[in-house]
Amino acid sequence: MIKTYLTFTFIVLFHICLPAQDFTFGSLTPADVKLKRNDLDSFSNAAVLNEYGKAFMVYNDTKGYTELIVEYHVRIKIFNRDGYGRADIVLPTHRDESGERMDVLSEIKAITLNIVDGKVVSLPLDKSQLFREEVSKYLTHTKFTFPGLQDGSIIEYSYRLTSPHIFNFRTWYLQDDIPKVNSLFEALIPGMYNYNVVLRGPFPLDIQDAKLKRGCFRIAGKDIDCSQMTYGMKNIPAFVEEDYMTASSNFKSAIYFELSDIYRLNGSNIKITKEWRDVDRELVTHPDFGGQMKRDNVFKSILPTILAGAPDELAKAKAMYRYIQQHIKWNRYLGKYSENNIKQALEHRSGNIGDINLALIAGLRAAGLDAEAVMLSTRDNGVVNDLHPVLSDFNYVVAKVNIGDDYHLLDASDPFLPFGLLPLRCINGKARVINLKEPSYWIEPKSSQKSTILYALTAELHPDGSLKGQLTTTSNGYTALNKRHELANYNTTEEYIEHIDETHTAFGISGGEIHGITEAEDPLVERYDIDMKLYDGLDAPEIFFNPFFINRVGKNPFNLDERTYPVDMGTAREERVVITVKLPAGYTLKSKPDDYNLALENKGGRYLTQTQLNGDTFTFSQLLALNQATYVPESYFALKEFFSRIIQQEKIDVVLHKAAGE
Amino acid sequence: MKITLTGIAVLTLLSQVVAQSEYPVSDIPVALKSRADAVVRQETIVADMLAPTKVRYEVKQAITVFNKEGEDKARLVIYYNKQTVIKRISGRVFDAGGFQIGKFTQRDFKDESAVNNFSLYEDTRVKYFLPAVTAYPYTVEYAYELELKQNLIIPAWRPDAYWNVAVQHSEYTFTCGESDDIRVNDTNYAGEPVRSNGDGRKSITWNVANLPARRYEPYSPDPETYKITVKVAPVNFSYYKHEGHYSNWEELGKWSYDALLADGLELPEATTQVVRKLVEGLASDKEKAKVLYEYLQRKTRYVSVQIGIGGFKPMAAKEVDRLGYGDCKGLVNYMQALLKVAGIPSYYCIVEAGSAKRNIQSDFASMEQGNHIILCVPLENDTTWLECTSQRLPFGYLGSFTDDRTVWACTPTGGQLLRTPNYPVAASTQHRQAVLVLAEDGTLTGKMETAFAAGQYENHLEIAGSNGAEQIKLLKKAYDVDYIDFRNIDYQKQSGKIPMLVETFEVTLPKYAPENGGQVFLTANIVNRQPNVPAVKDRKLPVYINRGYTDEDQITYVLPDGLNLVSGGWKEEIESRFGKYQATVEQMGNQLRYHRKFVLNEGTFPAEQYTEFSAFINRINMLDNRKAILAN
Repeated sequence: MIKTYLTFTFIVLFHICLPAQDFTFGSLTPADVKLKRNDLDSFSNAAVLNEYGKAFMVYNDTKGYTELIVEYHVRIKIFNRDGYGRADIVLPTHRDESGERMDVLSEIKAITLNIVDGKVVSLPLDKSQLFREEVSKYLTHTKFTFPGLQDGSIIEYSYRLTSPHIFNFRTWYLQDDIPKVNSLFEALIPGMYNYNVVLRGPFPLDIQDAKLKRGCFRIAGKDIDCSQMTYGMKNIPAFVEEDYMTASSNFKSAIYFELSDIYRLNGSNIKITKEWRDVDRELVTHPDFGGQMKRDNVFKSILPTILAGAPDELAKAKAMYRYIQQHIKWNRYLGKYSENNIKQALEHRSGNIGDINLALIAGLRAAGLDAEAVMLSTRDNGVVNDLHPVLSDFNYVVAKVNIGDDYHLLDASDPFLPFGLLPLRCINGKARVINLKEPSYWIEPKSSQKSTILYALTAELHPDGSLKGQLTTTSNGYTALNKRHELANYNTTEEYIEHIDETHTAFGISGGEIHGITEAEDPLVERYDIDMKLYDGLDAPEIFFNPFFINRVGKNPFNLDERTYPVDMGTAREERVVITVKLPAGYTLKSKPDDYNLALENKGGRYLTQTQLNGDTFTFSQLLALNQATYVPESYFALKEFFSRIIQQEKIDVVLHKAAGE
Repeated sequence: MKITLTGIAVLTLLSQVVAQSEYPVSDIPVALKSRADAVVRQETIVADMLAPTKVRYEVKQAITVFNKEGEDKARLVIYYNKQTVIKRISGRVFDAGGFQIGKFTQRDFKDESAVNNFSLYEDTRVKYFLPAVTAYPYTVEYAYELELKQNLIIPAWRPDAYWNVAVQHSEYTFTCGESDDIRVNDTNYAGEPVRSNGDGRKSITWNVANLPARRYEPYSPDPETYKITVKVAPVNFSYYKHEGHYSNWEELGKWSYDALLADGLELPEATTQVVRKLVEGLASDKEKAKVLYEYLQRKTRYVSVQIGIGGFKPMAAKEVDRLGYGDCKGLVNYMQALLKVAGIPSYYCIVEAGSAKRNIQSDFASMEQGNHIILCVPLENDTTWLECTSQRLPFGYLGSFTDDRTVWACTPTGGQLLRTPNYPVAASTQHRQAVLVLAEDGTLTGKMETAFAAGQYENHLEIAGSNGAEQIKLLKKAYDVDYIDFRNIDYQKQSGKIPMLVETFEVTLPKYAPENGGQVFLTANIVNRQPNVPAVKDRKLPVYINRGYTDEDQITYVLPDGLNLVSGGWKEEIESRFGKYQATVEQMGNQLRYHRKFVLNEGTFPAEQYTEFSAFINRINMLDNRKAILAN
């Protein structure tokens, strides 16, 4: 991924301010009218013709705090019916927990512009068709859609948002799912506020300007100068989501702000976000973070029970991990901070990610272990900024326990996770380790176990084509985790086996057993007695059968003609098949798939098959390994070809020949 | 004296401790635990109609949850709106032993708007709650009371509505004044309800006990046909300040027309003029209707806004005219208004839409039936049906969303039941023809043409309507073959009594037929392989095939010089009560010809024939994957 960073400094220039750069509402340009589908790309059903935003701050004397005011204005052309969805507008507004500070929307203006007989006809939004939906206590959606849509309609709307939430200023999304001809954003930032500004995405800005605007912010009777930043981009392509990629926010072009300092009138300086050492101090003393990590006293009375019989540090860590896994149920809320505090979470047996894993850290510390907190961002939340601390990037916390020279990363939110394996959602680039005493540092969590599966079939083939034998499947890592989740939905193993039997129509299961269902650290082993019809036909002189009937790829997971973003599967995986079949008497191997050995460059992957006949025993083995969690976009075609070759190989049959006279 | 008192206090405490074990899991009969994600231990529902504008609805239920899937049933979800007021909610949680481990009240519930994701706006909200318990099994008990400020729609009792949930005991009582007229409908309820009278009130009670968990079975009939439903409909009703009475579809249709539809058909003068101009000179009503339907498709789009009289009243025609959008009610009403200007009568019809065919219940009229509106134009000997929310469907075509079912028409003279058309198996065809040249490296190149008709008309309609990269993406999904490449894609629509969509393209399938040890492996059926169906053991429900069809595929492979079929050709035929399958492969000169015809019959078959059905389908799957082996 290409990331470009803008460093934002105060540039004091003595300029006369430019007039407002907004475009005129409802007044179309010839280019707007002329633009046609396919002018920008071959697939978009709508395009943004022009977009302008302006954000500035006003001190609200009555309320006693600074508010952010955003003026937003956009003009969109809708090429056809498939683009009509773009006319359904949802404007979210938030309210904080106290219910006092909330976003206020005003001056909503919307019109549809249609060209009828060469003339522009405008239809304004009917106010009765403006709906306010109170989604929850903290969130309201203001919704509307545009009247009189036709193919080629141009829709335009603007609004003003007054918000108490100044921390992230206003994120300006340059790139969207439809292309944009022009996008321009003006940010007026009073001299007393200092923001870190980051441009994400692969495209450079076309317009980037900083000026001084005198006296644009008034507080306590004083006028304060602002810096007037202008960011603009032209002809921004549509963002197209692809399979096997992490959060689109990692790749989409946008400008992000985060408040770093406030200079007060008395000359003092409040550092909001600055250096990791400031952040460390803040987190360590934060009542819902460090404050919870330190509460080892919560475990005082129960510690002997939890640790009973644990001989060493590793056993103690495992015992504590197991205890938290089984005693606090995840309430499906993420968060790096503790929501309820760990004592309550333990008592109520319920909590968010912060509650669970900070409780785990406190418990590990209570057990005398060296435990730290690891803040991270989940895969669908995007990667974190590693240049300077952006706390709001982090939405998750896990535990890191250091034992000897090793460390283990632990997330107790899922009772089926083995010790040391993080859920896939946590494998997302860099994470920051927060220690109660030492400075924080980066690590890059990886999944500690490969996802592997081994299918071993030992069977006997009968002349009528029926195959009877035993299939043993051994799974590890995420494969085992997923199977355990599935198993948990069945009250008995028998019901699960019945389900497997019914959904795998190629073979029948007459009995089976499963081991390691509750022992998350062990492999999950399934053993089934199976019978299947391998080929059709009776005592034919030549019989054809396909040995690729277990774990068949069948379809290529990579079928794009071009790929822009890395292929990210989160984890390496390995799948093996070993089939041993005793053939019916009198048959010999006439032909078989050639043994195959295919590798991806840089040991990225491997596919191997081998077929053999020893006496009357036929053996077939297959390995499919993808050794990397992430492949660069340039590897996409190699991956596509890799799977294509596998699919070709899978089409080849074994031919058995009946010896004459038998 | 003091001593005695203490003694009593201790006794009371003891008895409370004993009483606390209320729902021990050990009390559940073994038969109810089988295949159950949850068990309804006890459910008592009382609907007490105190007045048409005041129905007290009380529920007490206890549910034992065995696993994560079962939590869906333990989650209490209550929808409410202006006419449904939540009076109280409380609950308790018990562990496996039946000991109380927690309790909760209304404050613990989350409150959110309940707007469907397809809707712009609806004025319904939802409160929901799920207790956090780490260990299964556990039991949750709820008690809540609602007040309905109307009596037109009283929630039906559906004790066995959920899959994989057993019911130990459930009971429903409806109470009203002795002189109140009510109509009652019970479906699949065995036995007679208990009736009792007294103090000027009358009650009817239904109850069920020990119903084992039922699981979903593939190819099974509409659950309404075998699950228990009890509905009560008062004859005199009040709804959003409207009063009325009905005891059949005719009367309810009359009320609906008068209260909801009659005043919304007016159009602005300008549009009236447009309509007159459009139909001017057209000879038949059918031609006029077609022109107006196409006008509707051009001018409007579907936007769902559910407000006004419980979401039953359509947006007025003049509003739709001005805004250019509406929901199914608004758009049907608008179409009706357009036709009215042209002097063509039409009926506003309520239908239960969805791919599964469901009828409006002919023997019991009630307002909550149906979920969609379509328009019926009763042309002489040529009744025409219009789906007014689609811009793609041809005039007079309903498609699988509303075909072949009983619908309820609201007309000025009253309600009536009508039936939408069915697309017969023989007419619902997918006919494919291709000539493909096989190259030395196994690549196939050629032209493919597929015609989709009647019930199969919609198969590739979305692909036909898209273009550019999006179209290629959809095509790759429909023809999921490795490295497939399409060129000169074209779609032609043929309207008429039976609409048809013809798809043509040139196609390349690189290395489709690989060579190994001098043999070339070619799976003759490339794109129409029948998927397997699960081989369900111990089938309980009848086999139901919702929609039959006829598929025919004819592929000619032109072979390179010297390459011949060595595995032998084949001719397979399977006849069964479920349909007919034929497939042949034969070599003729340098051509390999593949022909496949598959007719799937629709209908209902007894449960014990499921094995035969799955064997039939899975045998077809096997034959569809059969390879022709070629060699020099």
